[in-house]
Amino acid sequence: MANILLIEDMKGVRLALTAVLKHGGHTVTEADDGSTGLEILRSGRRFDLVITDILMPTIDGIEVIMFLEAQANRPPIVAISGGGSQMPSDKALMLAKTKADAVLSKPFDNADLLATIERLVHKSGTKKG
Amino acid sequence: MLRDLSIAKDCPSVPPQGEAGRIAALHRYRILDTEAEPAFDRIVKLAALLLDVPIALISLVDTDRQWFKAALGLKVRETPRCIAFCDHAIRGEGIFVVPDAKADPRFADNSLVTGEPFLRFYAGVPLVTSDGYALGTLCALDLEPQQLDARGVTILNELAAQAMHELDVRAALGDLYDQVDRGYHSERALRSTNLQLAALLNVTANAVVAADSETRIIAWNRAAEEMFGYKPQEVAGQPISCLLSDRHRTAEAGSLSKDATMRDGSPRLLHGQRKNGQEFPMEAFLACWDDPLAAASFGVIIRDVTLRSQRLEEISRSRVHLAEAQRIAGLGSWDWTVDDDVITLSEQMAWLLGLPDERAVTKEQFLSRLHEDDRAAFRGEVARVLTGDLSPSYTFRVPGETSGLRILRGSCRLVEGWDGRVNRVIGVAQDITDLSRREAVERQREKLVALGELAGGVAHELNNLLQPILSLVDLSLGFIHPGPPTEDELEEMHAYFTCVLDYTRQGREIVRQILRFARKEGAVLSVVDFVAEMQSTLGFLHGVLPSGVGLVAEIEPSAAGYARVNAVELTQIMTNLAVNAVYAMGGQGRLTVSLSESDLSVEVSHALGVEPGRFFVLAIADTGPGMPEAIRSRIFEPFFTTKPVGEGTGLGLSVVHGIVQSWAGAVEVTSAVGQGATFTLYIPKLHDFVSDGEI
Repeated sequence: MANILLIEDMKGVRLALTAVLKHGGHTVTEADDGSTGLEILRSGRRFDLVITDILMPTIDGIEVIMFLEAQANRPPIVAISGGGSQMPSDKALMLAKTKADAVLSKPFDNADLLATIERLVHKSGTKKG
Repeated sequence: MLRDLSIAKDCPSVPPQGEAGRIAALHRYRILDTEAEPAFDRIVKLAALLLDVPIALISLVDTDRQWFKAALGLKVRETPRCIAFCDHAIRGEGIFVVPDAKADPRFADNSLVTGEPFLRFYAGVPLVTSDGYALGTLCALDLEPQQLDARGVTILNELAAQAMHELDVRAALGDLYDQVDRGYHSERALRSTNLQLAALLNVTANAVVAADSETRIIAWNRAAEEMFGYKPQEVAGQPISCLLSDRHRTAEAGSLSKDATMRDGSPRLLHGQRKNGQEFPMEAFLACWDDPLAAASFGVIIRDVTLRSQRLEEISRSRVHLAEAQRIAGLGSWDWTVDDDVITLSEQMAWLLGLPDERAVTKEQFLSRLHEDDRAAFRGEVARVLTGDLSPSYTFRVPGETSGLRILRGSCRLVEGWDGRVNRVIGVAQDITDLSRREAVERQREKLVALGELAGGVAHELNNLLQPILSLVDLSLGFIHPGPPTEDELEEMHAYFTCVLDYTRQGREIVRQILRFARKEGAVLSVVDFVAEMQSTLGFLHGVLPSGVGLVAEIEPSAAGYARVNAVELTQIMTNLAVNAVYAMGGQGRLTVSLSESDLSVEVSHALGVEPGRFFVLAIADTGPGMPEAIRSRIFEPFFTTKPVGEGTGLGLSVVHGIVQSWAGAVEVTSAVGQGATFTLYIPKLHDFVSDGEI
């Protein structure tokens, strides 16, 4: 079972995903926006996996992904996005998606989320081992 | 010996008693200023010879001069009366003698004595008419003093009597002289008239031609020569019809005849032809006379009206041009002379008003053609213009002939009349029925364009709402199992479904907004709670704008009340401006929407083109790069866009402008490079309004 950081600014989404993850047997730490998420990561706490929304006010998911990219031995990243054309920031969004280990487009099924986490944590654990 | 007396100075003389009768008598003789006559010359010669003096005169004393009918020894014909010795002579009876003027106190300082010709001796006998008036004298003068003896007195008396006799004979012959004179003068007058006529004929720019009874040319002035190119000798004796063009000669020859002139003396327009064959329009004025002695029987004055014809042609062409242009543009014009209340209508204007056969109407007739709801406003516009205010364009409707209303947009202004007084109003009106229809279509299209721009944001928002719904419902399904649910499960499900319910409702609100946005409806204005409508749109924008853009709302607590707008259009405008701002900021930045209230002063409202009053001031400010003046000044123009080809229609801001104007509001933009842009909407606030719901 994995120790997961969930960065999502929308309260309802955060509530739902936390419930799903907990029912899937994972431990969840919630951050309600990009800056809180970065703060937690900078504090040195280790996570087996980071789930981040991409479009958030102020510091967004792209910055979170860039921060993790710069870390040695970083945890796997799952980017979740609302989809839809986001006007001029499309390129940055594409970049972020290529850096993330998996991208899920909202609304996704609970099963898909859990399967993706299973796959990434297992892969990462295999790598480590 | 001749002496010049003409240098004598003016001086007053006191006229003798009965002077008026004497002067009248003198004038009856009609002798003054006549030619010298031998009978009188002979008398003065005799006087000089017989008395042995160098100077003898027949002097006639006029009002202020003495005039010499005959003068021996003097070369002047007259002298001023005041220095005349004769003036003394005629005041007495019989001969008047001055033996030595120098010794006589009356004449010692007389200029004829002290100066040229230095007279010393004078003897004069009055020339007295049968009715007792002394007309003048026969006098003898010398430069030496003399004594006149009895013989001398007799000689002078006799010769004076002879002179008076000659004068009487002459007067008796007066009638005869008169007749001769009259004949002489009338002949001279005739000759002079002829000379004047000839001079005038020479300088006039009109051709003057005279013809005899056979219509052969017998007189031809210089202008005729220049106009037609023929020398007088070339046309003399030619039929006058040779001046007409070959093509029209047969038809028009009859117009250049004495008969035609007698029938109708009005000027006629004919086709002339010059010697070189060039045809030209000419106007002919004919005159005829009956004089058995004159060779000429009638005359023609011809004016070359080429220029005038050209001008008339130009005028008629530009008239056609104007009428056609007005027809194509659907634009009519009118011209109201206020004092006599006549509105002259252009053809197109008459047609637009549904009065195709009228060209002039009164103000009331004009107003009666407008839709009754628009009459008061139109009347107000005209009254405003009459006070000298500029009229903005206004819209009014005219009931159509067959169906529907014709929508006209017009403006008018006060102008100076022909007499320099400001008493005319000139106006135009354009049929914008089609344009309004197109504008409505355009607005609808713009709404969809804005919606398209928002599609990504809307999808994002909906996806975010669907995520918890999907996840939580799915999760809850796992709680459905045989047997009653546990306390924990029930508690969890309660929390989940609360969230699902909330998000589903949020989703419904978004769909509502979109539908409302895209709904095709006329822009009907209604009274709305402005702040509530604005906040509802803000909520929508909050959800659909990219998350990189922070939306900040600053609503002054005091701002509250109603406005007459179209709520859908308000959403559209705010969304449009917000989408533009997001584009300008590249998806990253802060969008501040603020609302306040303000009383606009006369100056400010004038500058904005609105009526003064209280306004909602809705400002949408971005933190984008701003724009230079060159762009700022054009952004409300239709089809002006800074977006790459294919990305923008360029209609967004012009539609915003049009909508706000239709609310009697205004929109302005302030921006500078590097300082973002602020669009400010001024929307009239309704005061003392109680909403429908509160009634």
